[in-house]
Amino acid sequence: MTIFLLTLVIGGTVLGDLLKAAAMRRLGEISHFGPRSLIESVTELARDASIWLSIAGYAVSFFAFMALLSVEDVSFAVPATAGAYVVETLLARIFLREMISARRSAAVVLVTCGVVLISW
Amino acid sequence: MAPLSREAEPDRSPRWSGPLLQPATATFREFLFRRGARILACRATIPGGIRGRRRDTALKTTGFLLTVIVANALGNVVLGYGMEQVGSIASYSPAELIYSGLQAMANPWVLAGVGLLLLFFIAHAIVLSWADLSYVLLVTSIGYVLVAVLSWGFLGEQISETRWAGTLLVTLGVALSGFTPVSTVGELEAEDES
Repeated sequence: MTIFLLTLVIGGTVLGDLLKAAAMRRLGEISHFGPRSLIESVTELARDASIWLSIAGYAVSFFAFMALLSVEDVSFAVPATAGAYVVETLLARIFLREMISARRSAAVVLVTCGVVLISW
Repeated sequence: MAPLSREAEPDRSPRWSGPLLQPATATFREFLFRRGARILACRATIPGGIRGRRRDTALKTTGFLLTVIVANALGNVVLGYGMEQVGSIASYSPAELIYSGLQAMANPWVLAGVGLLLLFFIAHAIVLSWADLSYVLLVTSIGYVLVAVLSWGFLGEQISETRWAGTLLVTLGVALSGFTPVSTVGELEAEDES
């Protein structure tokens, strides 16, 4: 049960972030922040199915995290979800074609270890 | 009074009517002229030219990342405080969940927390429109450090040595990611081609 819930938490967050990033990249760089420009961007974004799937992913992750907290301690739940950093970076390399340099990889390792220690 | 007509004006654009070899020079001159005009137009629209644009993007990225970090940390704390006031949910049936949700929304702290998390979602989406997900993910992890330092400084919580070590590692990781480019879109394709 714990592994299943943990998979849902990490999977939901990763899916949510990847789909959101993909939808925003398709929309293009937002450089005008007036109300009219923002409303236009939001309207265009609402037509992209990815953003709705992304919100669904976040919702699944949120409820799965709540359920995980009901069966496991916070000291286990939070550090375990730090694995999302590694998974998300790898998937960003594959699906979003981002360049993961040695420096960025080292940063991912440092942050993941740091989050585990902070939440322990 | 003579009529003002653009069609009546003589065509003053340079035309070549000399030897065959010359048009290449004329085309090259035209190319240089167009390129120069484009650079001048670019400098006229972007204050400070390309450097100005880079500086603007860096400022924009910093501003939105700060909003993401602060709105997320504050939103979670405020929402948590509000939910403590509302009390625990007695039943997880759909009707009870909807009723509890509506009841929770009547609490100003819950409302403020939801508003801050909405701000986090929007700012996060905006910054992702030009920045790498892997970059944003790393830099925003400084939120863990922010929460640890705030809970130590303002709430007087005891922070263990392990937690301080974790804080140091996250800070180092974020600092290291700060030395990587904000966006690497297209770099991988360029590397594949070369």
